[in-house]
Amino acid sequence: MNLSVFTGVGLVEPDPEPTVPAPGGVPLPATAAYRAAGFDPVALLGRRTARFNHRSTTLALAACGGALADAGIEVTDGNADGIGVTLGTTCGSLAGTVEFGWDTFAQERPHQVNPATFPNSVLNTAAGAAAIRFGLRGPNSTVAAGPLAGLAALRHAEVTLRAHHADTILVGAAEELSAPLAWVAETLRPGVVLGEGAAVLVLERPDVAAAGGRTPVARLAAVVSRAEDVRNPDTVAAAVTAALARAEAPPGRVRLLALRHTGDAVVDAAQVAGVGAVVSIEPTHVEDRIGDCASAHAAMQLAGVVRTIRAERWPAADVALVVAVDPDGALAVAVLSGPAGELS
Amino acid sequence: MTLETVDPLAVRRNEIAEMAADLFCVSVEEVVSAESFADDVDADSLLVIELLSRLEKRYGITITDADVVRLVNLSATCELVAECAGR
Amino acid sequence: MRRRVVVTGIGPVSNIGIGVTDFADSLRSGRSGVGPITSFDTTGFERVVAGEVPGFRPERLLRRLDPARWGRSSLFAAAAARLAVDDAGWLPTGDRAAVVIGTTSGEAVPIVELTRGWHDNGYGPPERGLATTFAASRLALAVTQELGISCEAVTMATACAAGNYAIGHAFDLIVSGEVDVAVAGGADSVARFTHAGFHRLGALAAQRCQPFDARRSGILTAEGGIGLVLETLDGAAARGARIYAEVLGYAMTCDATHPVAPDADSIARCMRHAHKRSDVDPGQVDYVCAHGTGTRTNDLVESNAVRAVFGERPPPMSSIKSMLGHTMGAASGFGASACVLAIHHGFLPPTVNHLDPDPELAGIDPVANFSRATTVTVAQNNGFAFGGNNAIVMFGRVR
Repeated sequence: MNLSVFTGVGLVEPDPEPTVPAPGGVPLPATAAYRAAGFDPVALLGRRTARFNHRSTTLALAACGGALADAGIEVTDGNADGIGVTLGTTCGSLAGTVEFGWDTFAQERPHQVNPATFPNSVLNTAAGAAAIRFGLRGPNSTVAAGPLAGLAALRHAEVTLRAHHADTILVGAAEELSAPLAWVAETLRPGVVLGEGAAVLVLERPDVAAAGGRTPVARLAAVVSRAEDVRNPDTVAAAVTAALARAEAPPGRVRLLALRHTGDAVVDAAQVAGVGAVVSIEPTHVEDRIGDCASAHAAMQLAGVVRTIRAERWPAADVALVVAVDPDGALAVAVLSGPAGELS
Repeated sequence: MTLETVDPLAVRRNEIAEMAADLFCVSVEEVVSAESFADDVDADSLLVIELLSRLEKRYGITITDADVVRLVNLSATCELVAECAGR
Repeated sequence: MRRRVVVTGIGPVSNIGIGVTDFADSLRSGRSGVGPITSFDTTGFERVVAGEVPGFRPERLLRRLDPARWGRSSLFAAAAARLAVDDAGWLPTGDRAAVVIGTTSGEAVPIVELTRGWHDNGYGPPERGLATTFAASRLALAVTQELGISCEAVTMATACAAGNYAIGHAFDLIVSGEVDVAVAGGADSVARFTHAGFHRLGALAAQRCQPFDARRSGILTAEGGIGLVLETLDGAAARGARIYAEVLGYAMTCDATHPVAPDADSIARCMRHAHKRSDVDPGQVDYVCAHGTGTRTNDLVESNAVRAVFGERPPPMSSIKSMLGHTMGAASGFGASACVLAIHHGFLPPTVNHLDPDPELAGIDPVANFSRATTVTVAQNNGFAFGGNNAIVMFGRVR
């Protein structure tokens, strides 16, 4: 079998208790949110990196660094060309773009924007910053997939690895709490409790991991990412079935099922019914621990699943599902298994 | 008691040095002693344009795109600002 | 035996033509589509020219989508896809299909309006129309919903090289055997923030984009949508499709040095990888469709990389940005179309506005001002982006 393997995880989670915004500062909805209050980009990354990179980028950088360290990868001139990055996002840093563009309205002349923050308004800025910080010269990609971000990134990375464009890819997503995102969420899902964080996983071909002396901690058995009618439970069921079939995993071997509430009642009902028609175990949610982390949510769930598989030493035949649904009409399913061998 | 005369050019030079130090994330001393922003304090092209942007706003001047190449070090920058400000 | 991938449909929505016939005619005649900006208030800007598509009437091009429910970039993507599948004569089905759309800014216009609202009125919940249309992820979904198919779909957000990333990823999906047909391309809209950003960087030209010219002074921002239909050679032959050209392969590298400034070594490495993966020798390349933005830096760095790889007499290299302006995420999609049309019709698109050759770019033949009839067997499409994201796609005449 030629499946990609995970060899490291980097995760930045928010503090365990949500907090309401402090008074003063930019007006925010009154809803509580899960903040990574202790996340100090200056301490972690240095003043210069923290200064001009937006929070969603510095969160991503922290998770990338954590993933590389966890995998024990030292980036050298010899391997840098083969290490790539694929991150997922909704629209880059919405706050970064809003702050950058604000000056076109606020300043005396509309072009008196801050050039140093122009990159923060570009959707691929975090992936580019990761490449610069860690010297990663392999394929560098960003996928815009909203709630599917982490899983769509995983699919892109899987395809890219299999085509031998890269040997190793850092895959993940980051999301920051910000006023713009909070207010958009207030219109779309009043009262939703948001969170922030980042998760990056190291995905490699098994021969590359072996050559690097790295032991896989989990395996990517399959990932599908599709535009679908997500209001229809049969469509959802078919996608889950297809993912399990591709993974050659019977539904009875699913030990863990990670879902996310989309906030759309019809879509959520279809998700529950559709997944439930195929997999009988109770789904797990992490919103009560990290809130809804938007673009980063699925990636953070993936990271949690990989850690569980590693900690509990799952056999190759046991699988976990991470499902992400975009009410705009798309869904993704990742099937992860224990790492080694082909015997159950 | 004597009043010390304040040299406006020196004041501005200090201001610009502090602005550059803040932007390039180095000390004022390093800015003052740098012969080349790019080589000595690792200031990349984006940060130099950012410096131009802040100088324009702070001093109400317009620095043309062609002149951005003159922002090589502190002295050259002060000279350029003086030219653009007309004093 | 690796599956072979061909281009059977081209759907351009551009300021030099909507639909492949007009687009190809314009490329051949060197027509430019830039002009004074009308889509936003330019008061206070020193630079006021861009490559808008004022004649874009989504309701005339789309069959399923309701234009009121989508942002402009999504509509560009969907319209381009519709034109492409019509040109390919392909009836879209979801089985074993994929949609991959590249973008730089996604739905920039809704984001500008969100910001304007907060700036003018203070922070608060925005109107639903903006909140439901701003996500860049919607571009690929606009295409699948316009075509009425369920299939693998993703929006590639790799800035100004995104079109090549989209075509490349679609190529990988087809070669893998999981997908038989794909619509790949890109879309972006002219918008206030993009304009302001390049303006501030000193990267905007005043009136004309003059790639490779000694007096070139920068880009003109532009917009549009481009879709190409990619499918297996066998599948195309079996249904008697008109084949424009073959996708030979592609490569990606990352500079990993600077957020915006390009790196010649990394770009040269990307070219060499693209050649190797396509089984092409540099000497076989008949034409390079340049990234050619018209900035002093890009054109010099790109020329240096080309000379490093091809030697002192590289193949002719023209920039269609001289005609279109810089269409951001769609740019390398339009470039791919130019390569494919060059191969199919046997001509090199020109670099227009070329007045003074730049002595620093000695050896580069920019196909100055007039297109050139010639056989094109292998063409290279360059795409370089902020974040050091490079992607180069190679095209060839089918043998």
